[in-house]
Amino acid sequence: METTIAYMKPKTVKEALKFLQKHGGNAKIIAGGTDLLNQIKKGAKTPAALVNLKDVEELRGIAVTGKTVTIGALTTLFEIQNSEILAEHFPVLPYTASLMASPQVRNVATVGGNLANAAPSADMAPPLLVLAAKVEIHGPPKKRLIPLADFFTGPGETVMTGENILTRIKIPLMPKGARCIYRVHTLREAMDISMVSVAAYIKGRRKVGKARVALGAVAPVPMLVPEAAEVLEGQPFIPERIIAAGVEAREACKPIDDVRASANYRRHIVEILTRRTLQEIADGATS
Amino acid sequence: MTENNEYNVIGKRVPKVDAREKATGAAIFGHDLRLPGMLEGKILRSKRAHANFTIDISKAEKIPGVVAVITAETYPHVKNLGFLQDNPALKKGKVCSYRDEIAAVAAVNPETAEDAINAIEVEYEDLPNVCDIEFACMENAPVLHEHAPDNILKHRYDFVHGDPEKALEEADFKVTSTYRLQYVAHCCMEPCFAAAQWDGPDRLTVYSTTQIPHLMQRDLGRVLGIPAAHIRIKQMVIGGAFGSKLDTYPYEIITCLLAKKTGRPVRIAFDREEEFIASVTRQPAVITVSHGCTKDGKLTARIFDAVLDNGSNSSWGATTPHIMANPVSSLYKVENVRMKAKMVYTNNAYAGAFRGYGNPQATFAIESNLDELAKVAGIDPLELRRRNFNEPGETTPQDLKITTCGMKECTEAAVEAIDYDKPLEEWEGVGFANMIHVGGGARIYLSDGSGVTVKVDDFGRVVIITGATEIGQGTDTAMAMIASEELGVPLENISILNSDTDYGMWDAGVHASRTTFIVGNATLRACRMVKEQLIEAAAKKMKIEPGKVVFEKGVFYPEGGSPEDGMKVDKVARSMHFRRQGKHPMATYYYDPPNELQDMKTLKGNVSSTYAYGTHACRVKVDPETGKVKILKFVAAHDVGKVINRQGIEGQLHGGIAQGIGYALMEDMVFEDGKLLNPNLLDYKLVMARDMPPMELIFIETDDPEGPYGAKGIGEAGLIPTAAAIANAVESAIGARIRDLPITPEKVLAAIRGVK
Amino acid sequence: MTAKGEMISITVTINGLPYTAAVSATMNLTDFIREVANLTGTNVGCGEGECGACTVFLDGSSVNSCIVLAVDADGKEVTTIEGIGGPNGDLHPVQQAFIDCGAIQCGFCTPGMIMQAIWFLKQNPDPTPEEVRAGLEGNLCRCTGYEKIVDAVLTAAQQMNAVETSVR
Repeated sequence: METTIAYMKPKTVKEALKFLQKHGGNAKIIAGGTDLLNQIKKGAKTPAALVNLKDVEELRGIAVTGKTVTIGALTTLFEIQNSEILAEHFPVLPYTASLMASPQVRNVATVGGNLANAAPSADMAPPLLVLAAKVEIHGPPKKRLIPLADFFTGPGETVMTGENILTRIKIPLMPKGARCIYRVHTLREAMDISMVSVAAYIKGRRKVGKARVALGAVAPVPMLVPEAAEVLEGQPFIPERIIAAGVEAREACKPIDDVRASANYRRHIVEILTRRTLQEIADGATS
Repeated sequence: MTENNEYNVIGKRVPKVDAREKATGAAIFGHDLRLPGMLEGKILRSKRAHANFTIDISKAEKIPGVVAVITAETYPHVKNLGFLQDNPALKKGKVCSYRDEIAAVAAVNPETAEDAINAIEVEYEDLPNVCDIEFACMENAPVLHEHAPDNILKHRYDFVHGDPEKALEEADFKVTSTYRLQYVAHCCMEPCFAAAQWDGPDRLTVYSTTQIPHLMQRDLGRVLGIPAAHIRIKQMVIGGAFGSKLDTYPYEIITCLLAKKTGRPVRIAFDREEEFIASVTRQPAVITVSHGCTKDGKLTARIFDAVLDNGSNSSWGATTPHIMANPVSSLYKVENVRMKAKMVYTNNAYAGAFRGYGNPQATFAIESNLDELAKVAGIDPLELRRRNFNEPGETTPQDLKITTCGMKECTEAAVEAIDYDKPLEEWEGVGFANMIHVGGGARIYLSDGSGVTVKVDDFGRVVIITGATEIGQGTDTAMAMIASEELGVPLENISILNSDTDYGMWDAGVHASRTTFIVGNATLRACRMVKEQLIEAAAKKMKIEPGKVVFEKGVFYPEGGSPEDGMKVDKVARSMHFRRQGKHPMATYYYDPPNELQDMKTLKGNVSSTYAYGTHACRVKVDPETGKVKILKFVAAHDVGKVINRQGIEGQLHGGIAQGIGYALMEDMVFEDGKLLNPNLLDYKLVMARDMPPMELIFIETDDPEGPYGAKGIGEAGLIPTAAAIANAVESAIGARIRDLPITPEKVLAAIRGVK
Repeated sequence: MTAKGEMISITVTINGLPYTAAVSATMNLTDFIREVANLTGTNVGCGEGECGACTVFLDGSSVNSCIVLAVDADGKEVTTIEGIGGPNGDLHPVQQAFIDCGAIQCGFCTPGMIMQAIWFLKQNPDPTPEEVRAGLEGNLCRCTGYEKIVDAVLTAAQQMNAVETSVR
């Protein structure tokens, strides 16, 4: 009758992969804090094993190499919030971390966990999407680096199998004159899941060179909106184009009705929040 | 208002007497209780809103570590619970909501108990769901309970005074609107808890977080079929209640039954999800209100029609119209009033008592509707109120006797503090609302009384023994302050003994904002009796007439003498009992206020011995594109009679306002076919520190003749007019009325678009 | 059937004392503190990291102990509400300020609230009221409306800073 969940605390990625393989993908990775314990207690979830990555030191830390910043998947949101490297290169990321959950959660929750859990509302995703981040995945078939834009496949689902580990996030340094910010629409001022979130990246001040817009909580996955970027790129950065980008974002999103908001309301907010976010960049906001 | 100098302690800021144990983690809440051999109890609840079922517990019973599995068949003679006694602790053959209890287990630990619950096999035969009050009232609607073939509870609340229909017909201006109030959860930070232990077949001790220890003792005796005299209720430190623990519930009976079956102590502790699904809620309601006035703005008619979703069974939610009748009949002077309320069974959750007891719902509807009337009549909402204020000396249509009344003072102070006439920026709004609530107890049982014993020991320590219940609201501290004031003993030398029916005297429970008023009065009088004894003893010792003894700051001395030559309380106490045929300085006072049990047919009678008034006013800013409402400033002016503990009363009002803001703007239990969709603290949104606006509190002291030192009860007042004030401010900002709570950004946006 | 993690022997130092036990790998830190160490000051309000009532320090960082594995505390230092006062019943200045300012009503959220306030003041010893509110954004209170809690944290900050200045 007794079902026992095996537990491992590997010290290296290699070791961790071996454990995952042994359980044929039925193991669950634990990185920071977890609400899994409650679900296990109630019998709602029964993984074959828990693989605790906390001791895998190689997955920690934030570093700049050449034109890339690498963030280890085990980096906590607290570390992101307080990283000098990120403050210098991507101030949007510390700001985003500061919006998430609570200080207690940020002290344990990891950036890798936020992405790998693949909630449609995952706050780290939209800014990383517009920063053209890539994620490094270890495990079968092979170690690979893929764009974050190709990572999410559905609510709670990614391209990773149960035998994969998200190890690092790699972000190209922003060129001079590029800015990136993230905005959320919530009911409460804290501890809330976004009804809608928008990240935007714009290079150029008067005229837009490169543009990227990403949305959270309004589709099965956090999503880029190339249509919104297209109406901005190569055009003067003026309210008219910004408004058009908002409309494109609205057209592109695929929200659902749930207890947090209706689909219709979310669609409307996507337009408003996209427009406001872009306008804030135009007005000089940097995080 | 400046602090009053007429007293040494009363009116000051005094830290709570139980604060230290709570700040150090020493306080013993329910889940901290450890009894030798205690088992873990768990309840299996329905997985359907409405179904017949059969049950097989054989697999669960065989799990090692499972000590008992019980169903309705185990103890068939156990009686029903609930206001209408329509709620069996364990349901037999039929469930009417997702919270329905169908079996329970006791096991050696929580995991085994969970396993046993999961091993119980239940087969459901679905019945059509009745989750909507309109559907429930239709001719051929499925019937939930045989005793209510039309799904309508048999008791009604009908109140009439004058000829409201005619008055409305003849009114110069009139307005009728319908308001919808949602389900909200108490969300006590501590989830429900009970533990029980039997000593032989009919002696029972229950460790409880109840607000009604003495009534619970009675309930348990009746339901379990044992003499109530053999039942002892010991209350734990209670982690919030707000009315949720005012009834005796199935889980408490089940705990007792599991303990009986196993012969061991058993506890049941909810987790947060079970707390959301299975504890009582605030009573939801659909309320239609009409008001009529003359062209001068004199109110002539009010008609109030409420339909309450009673859920699957009755608890105190089914009686909330009793208190709705107070504002309906008596908030402002209205000559012609009618109220009707009916309660409808559905397969939803059932409601209990929740701070304000129906009054927040009624006040939201009435005060929203009055602003609507003001708009129709072209009178400023403030002016409309001013022309209809309640006054001291008034007897209202419900026969409430208004002794002291600070309505005018509260209103004027609140509108001044909110700067009511200041021009509004675009999308800014200002609004306010008034309230009346029982402030001098509420006689809803035969007794509204409470007994207190005060003793002084030979070290000068004062012990107050009481049946009153501390739920965080601070009555222990108020009692200690009263004793300190009367007996001149420092607060650190005063203890409160409560939380046990074996030594606490009868108390009707902590509800109706009554404890500081009722128990305060009992404490005050018992202390004065002890003081008389001490004065008499001091006089004897000083060999003077008692009338010549001066008692000041804990020292007795002869008139004309000096306190330095006097005797302290401890010395006088010793002089009384360190002798042959001595006496112990102690006294008991049982205070029962001069209020009346209302006639249930006419709903008339002076239910409280005084009434509390208050005004909430706020300034809001609405984001016209997202519909989000931000409260810029919140003012609460309350007629409190007299401040007892300034720190405590501020805390009560701050907390009430926070709950009121949540009620107005974000709290909402979302049900779909009887199933709660947001049973967690992420999707059920309580306000957090960052959501609170700047608050200003104003205390109007009307010095009530019946209250202790002039005080009125104030525990519930803090959230009664809150939602109405916010709704009125939102209307002022956007030009459209939102009649459904909560006022979400989505509804605000829709309302703005409706205006355009 | 509910599953349990395999049993693992761990030693956690709580308030300076080591506690060794074999525990399930799926046990959370709250249960270790409450059931193994029998320290009941740490309260459970939700078990899901939403309310902050179970806040403790893990190697000096404030965490919701309900969403941390007990085995993750192996070899580490945990501080609970019982471990922040001084000897002879002395209180931490934050505890004292909570008492003095009326920041406590039912008291169930209080231990977690005090722990978070202490951690927050270490990060930000001289906060504004708005920063205090942000620092406590993970702690729910149903009784106080937070006003007096914010007062208490600001008062404690002042007192702690005054002591620090006088020591210098």
